[in-house]
Amino acid sequence: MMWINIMLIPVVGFIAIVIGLLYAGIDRVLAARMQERVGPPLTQPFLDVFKLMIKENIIPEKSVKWLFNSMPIVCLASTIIILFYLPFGGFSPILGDHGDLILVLYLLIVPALTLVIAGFSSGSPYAVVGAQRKMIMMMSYEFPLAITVVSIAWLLTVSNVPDPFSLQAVTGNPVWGLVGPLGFLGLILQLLVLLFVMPGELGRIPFDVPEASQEIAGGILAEYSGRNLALFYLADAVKVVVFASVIIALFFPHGLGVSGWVGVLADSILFFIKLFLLMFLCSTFIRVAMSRFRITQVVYVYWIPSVLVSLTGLLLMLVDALL
Amino acid sequence: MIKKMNEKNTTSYELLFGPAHPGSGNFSVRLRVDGEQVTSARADPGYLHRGFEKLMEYRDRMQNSILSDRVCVFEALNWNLVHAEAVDELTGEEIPEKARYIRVLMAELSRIQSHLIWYGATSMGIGFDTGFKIAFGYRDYILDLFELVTGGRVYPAGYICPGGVRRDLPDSAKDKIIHVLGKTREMLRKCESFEKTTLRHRTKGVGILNRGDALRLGATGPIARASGISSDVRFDDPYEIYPELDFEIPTRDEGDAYARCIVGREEIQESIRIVEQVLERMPEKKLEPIKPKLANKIPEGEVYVRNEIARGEAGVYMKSVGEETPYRCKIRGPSLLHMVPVLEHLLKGSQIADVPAIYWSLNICPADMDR
Repeated sequence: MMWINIMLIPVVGFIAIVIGLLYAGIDRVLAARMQERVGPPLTQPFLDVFKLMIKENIIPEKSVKWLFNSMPIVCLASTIIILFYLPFGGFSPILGDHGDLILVLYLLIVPALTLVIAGFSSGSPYAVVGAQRKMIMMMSYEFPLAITVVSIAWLLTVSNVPDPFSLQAVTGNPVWGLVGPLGFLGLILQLLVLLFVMPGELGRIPFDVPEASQEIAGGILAEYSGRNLALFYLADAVKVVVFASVIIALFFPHGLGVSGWVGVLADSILFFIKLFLLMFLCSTFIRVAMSRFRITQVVYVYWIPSVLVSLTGLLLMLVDALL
Repeated sequence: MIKKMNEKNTTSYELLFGPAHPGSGNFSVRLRVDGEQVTSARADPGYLHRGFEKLMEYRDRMQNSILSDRVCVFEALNWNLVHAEAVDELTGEEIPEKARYIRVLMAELSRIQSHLIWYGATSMGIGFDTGFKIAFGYRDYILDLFELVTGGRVYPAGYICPGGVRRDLPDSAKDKIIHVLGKTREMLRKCESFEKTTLRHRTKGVGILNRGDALRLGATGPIARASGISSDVRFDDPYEIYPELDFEIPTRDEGDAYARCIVGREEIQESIRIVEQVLERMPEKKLEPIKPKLANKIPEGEVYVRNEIARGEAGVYMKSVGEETPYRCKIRGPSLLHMVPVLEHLLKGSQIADVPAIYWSLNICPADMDR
């Protein structure tokens, strides 16, 4: 079984990249239609990546070269690795026996961290400003994210589910069935916070302050070009799939309950529909409807309203469990 | 690129906002930045100098009217009008009644499309992609009108020229203009909802230019009106048929980027009203195409003409010594004062994130500053 799983790793990585890019294409078309434009063809992100791959890879003189060159690879690799710990489509996690939710939480920090290092290593003031902003943003959204994840694990603990932090336990016991009406409300608040953290984690408008092209000319990625930039694009596309999968695993792990190969196929299709809806809500819709926040506003919305909402959700779940 | 401004304070460095920057035009601002805070800003103009004032001294009036398109890309027809008025005042030529109406019609349409660019660019500056795309999209309807009337989408090739306009409006123009005004109104309703939902939290209280500073630093046009100064050349020193028309001057007292945005939108509404009145009152009589009088000399004299263009007050000083070409033609663009003293004043002490919002809300055009 172990061998099959190891064989599956490159396959899943490849599928994740293709789906990520396809969703990026759908995202662009949908955003264009919402802005009364025609928009690019669905294949545009693929073409962009192919073009960047054959372009010259310029390395600035003042950069720390080995860091500058290695960060895109680490970013993409670490993003794909998260997928191995998450249920993907109708399949259970490939490395599910070896890691749990806490590991996933830590791994989610790694791609953001590589972006910060990439920014500092490129030696441009724009990138330095962008990297500083990214760090501040990471510190802001991690806390509400952690509260949400911990409260779900706590809910599983009080419901006497063994091994509450493992993803099998989370997906095996959909959280909505474990709570009463108050706890249900609390879970909805937690879900809202998580949906609000998603664009921040992905660095989309209104939370694209580290890359803000009109302010700091592309920020972290200002000095990146060619293959390195293409790898960051790929990582960005995969990140959408990864983070949406995290939300699906935590809140919507429901399958159709059909057994056999048909069931796996049907669950996969359902998974992609869920993925698409989440992507539309958290990336496309919010991007079209809002303007970019100032970094002070980003810190405010994550530290005060988001934390308050998620703590209220936790409190409601607590009261629900005690009653 | 990182210049340590001060050995003790290593977090202070210089950030270039332009000329090669997605958030700026052909213009540069050198920002001294401490973390996210801008401690001082120095405007660095001159990237778009094309020497129109000198070029005009070697060309006759018709050639100059074509040249005057290029003073500002987004307001070609308004600059056409300023130049044509300067020459008309020197020659004392009688302008046909209908040509005066067409001049105002085209100038107001040009003002609408310039304000749409302003609105779009401000949206772009704060990262609001939808506002940017929609404003630029609807601007294309007006460009279609320009193509129909003048033959050029952006540059009308001196459509408004000394002695009137080059040719009459085509027959289909009136219906098309009414159709486009309807579309623009539709867009303005969208803009209103954008302002309430998303523009507000990024532009409110950003880049406040109070009344005293606006007067001291020489702000004109919508920038001054957003700071509570009710000044408009169309009203204070009327030209063409403006005294006969009924329109208001929108002003606001806040003086921040949000106020400037709203003034821009309200001015579009006023311009639509003006265009409708002009269409209503325009004489039916067909206008003869103008014949370029190449050999005619401009009578001796000097004149300063000022107009209200979308960005503020535009002026042309023209001196003639009785030759075909003007002896001197000085162009006064509104952007120079907005771009250097006003911008430097507003940027000092702001956040990096607010730099594009302030920059674009001032509605500046590097082209008419550098000339």
